[in-house]
Order: sequence, then C-alpha cells, then structure tokens
Amino acid sequence: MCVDQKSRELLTHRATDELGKFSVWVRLYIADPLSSEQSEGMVVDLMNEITTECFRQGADMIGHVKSFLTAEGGKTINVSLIDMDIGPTVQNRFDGTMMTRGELIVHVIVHGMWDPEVRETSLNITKEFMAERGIEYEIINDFFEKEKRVKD
Amino acid sequence: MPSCDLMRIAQVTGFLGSGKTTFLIEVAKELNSRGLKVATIVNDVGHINVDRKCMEIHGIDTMEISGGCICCEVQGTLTTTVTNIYMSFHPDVILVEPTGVAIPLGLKQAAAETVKKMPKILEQSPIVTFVDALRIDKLMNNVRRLVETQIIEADAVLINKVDAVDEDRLDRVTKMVRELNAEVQLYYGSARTGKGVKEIADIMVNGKAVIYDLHDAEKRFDRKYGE
Repeated sequence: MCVDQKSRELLTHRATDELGKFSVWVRLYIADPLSSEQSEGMVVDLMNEITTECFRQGADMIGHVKSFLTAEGGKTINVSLIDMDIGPTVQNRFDGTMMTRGELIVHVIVHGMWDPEVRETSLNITKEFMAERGIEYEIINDFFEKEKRVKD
Repeated sequence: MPSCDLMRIAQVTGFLGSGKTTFLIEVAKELNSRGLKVATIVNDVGHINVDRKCMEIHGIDTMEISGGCICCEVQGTLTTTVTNIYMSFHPDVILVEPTGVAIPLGLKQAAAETVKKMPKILEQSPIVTFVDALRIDKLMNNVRRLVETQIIEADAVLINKVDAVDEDRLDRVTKMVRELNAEVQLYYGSARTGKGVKEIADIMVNGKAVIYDLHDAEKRFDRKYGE
C-alpha cells in the first residue's frame, strides 16, 4: 500500500492521539497551613478523585495522571499515577514546610474519553474538592488538546 | 564517545508512565559523572510542562517543546530547539524525551531533518523504547498498536521497572518484545535500583550512530496504519 505524505501525517496524528488529555495550572491560597503530609495527601486525593470520576465517565485506562506542587520557598512534591491498583508514586516531599500558598500543575491523560470531557471532569472535581477543603484557588492556565492541524 | 566536535542527539520513546523521565534523570547524572555536558529536551502533553520541572529540580538543563507532539505536529521545532541548545550550551549529548504517545517513525523523521541541517555537528544515537514491565498487559489490551509500533521501530528496548515484577512476568515481556523485534538490543532497567542506567548511557554516547532508511520505515508504517 502506498500512502502520500499528507495522508501519512493524518495517520500519524491519529495513531498518537488515542487518549484524552488535559492539563491545568492553579495557584492555591490555603487559610489553614498544610504540613508536608497534608499537602501530599491533598494532591494524592485530588488526583485519585479526578481519575475515579474519569473512570465513571467512561475512561478504561490511565495514560498518566501526574502533578507538580511548588510551595512558597520552592519546596516541591511531584506525584505520578499510572494505575489505581498500583497507587501513586510520590517524590521530593517537603520537609517541615507549612504551605499557605502554592502552585499546582495537574496533567490528566486517560484512554476512553476525549479531551473536552477530560477537561470538564477535571475542572468540576477540582472545584468541588477545593471547596470541601476551604482552599481558594485561581486557574493560571488550562490547556486541552484537540483534533487539529492535520485534519484539513 | 564520538569525536569531540560532534554532538549526539539521543531520543527515547515509550508509552506514558513507562518511567522515561525518572530513568533519564539517572542517565543524565551518569553522563555528568563521566564529565559530559548534557542537555535535555522534553515534549510533554499540553503547554504546561511537568517533566521539565522534574528534570530541573535535579539540576539538569532542560528545554521544552510545546504545542504538540514532536513526532507528528511540531517536527520542525526540534531542529530549532537543537540549534539553540548547540549555540548557547554546546553539550556533548542532548537527551530528547517526547510525549509517551510518540512513535519512532516521527522521531526518526524529525531527527533526520535536524541532522541534515547540522551535518558535521550532530549525529543520532539509537532510539531506545521503554517498555513498562508492570503495566504491559493493560497497554496491550488498550493501546496495542501504538505500543507494538514503538517496539518494532526501536533500535534498542529497555524493559523498565524490573524490580517490581517477578521472573515469570519478565520472561513473558522479554518473549513478547523478541517476537515483535527479534534483532533489537535488549536491556533491563530500574531507576530505583540503578539497573541499566550505565548501559543506556553507553549506547547513547558510544552506540553506533544511526542513519535511517526512512523509505523502509514509512512503508512499514503505511502497512500497519494505512489499512
């Protein structure tokens, strides 16, 4: 079979775009300072809740759900989740930092949902999650992929 | 190590979550310990880059390519980014970590274009595909075609996270990789234990430089995806 370059670009795009993707970058304002353990727990719980809801909405596999939290002073925590059965992996824990402000990046990539649904689910869960914990936040940037570029 | 005038570009592939970033951090540290200057290019999904931050907290010079995947949407950007790194930093090796959904054909095309524009300066190391030993069954159920393509088109395969699986599973994964690509150089790795880090660092700087026959790679791609 012979495929011209334009068609091959489309095939390549589709071959690599079988997953729903969304990422968000938020600034957190925390009235009751969070310890290292509480900060880590907050991120892990948020990722678990977003992922669980994605599965409820039709996702059938995690691509990669990951996050990077930076507290004032530059201390960081990054969490990676690739399988609910395996659970999250946490790196670079705070030591002794009490967090009152932070910046959190969350990436959600799942199989079985498309980008707009992943975005909506992630933002809705984040809103509920932060409200339940009395954490105020503002979205600095959010980004979702969509079928683009090579379609025409 | 290649001639001191030459800079290597070493690309990896491997599905999302296969441990590329964590392992490459260890490879970069290993290369630094050999006195080599290392830069990395990461191409995370979306414009908000987590992998770059993970690299930078380990002191690794990192640039990002955003706006799409290197292999299919922003191939041309790789050339510009590599040129900028060469001009500003002049490293011995540039490690390139594309998104976990990148396929080797696109990486080969992007690298070939870059090497063509920087002859006598740049050569390409073998492409290493990471295979997640822990999660391979789920991946083969859901994204089989992509994972198979990443293995079939690889120059080397690293079966990763071997510390987390038993021998039976490891044998099964090895057999699967061999069935897909009988000739591939095969390695076993774990960032946690350090297994495989020196070997992958070796092939990135000492492995035979590759020049791809893109026509053959394109024909294989067309057969697999053009149905």
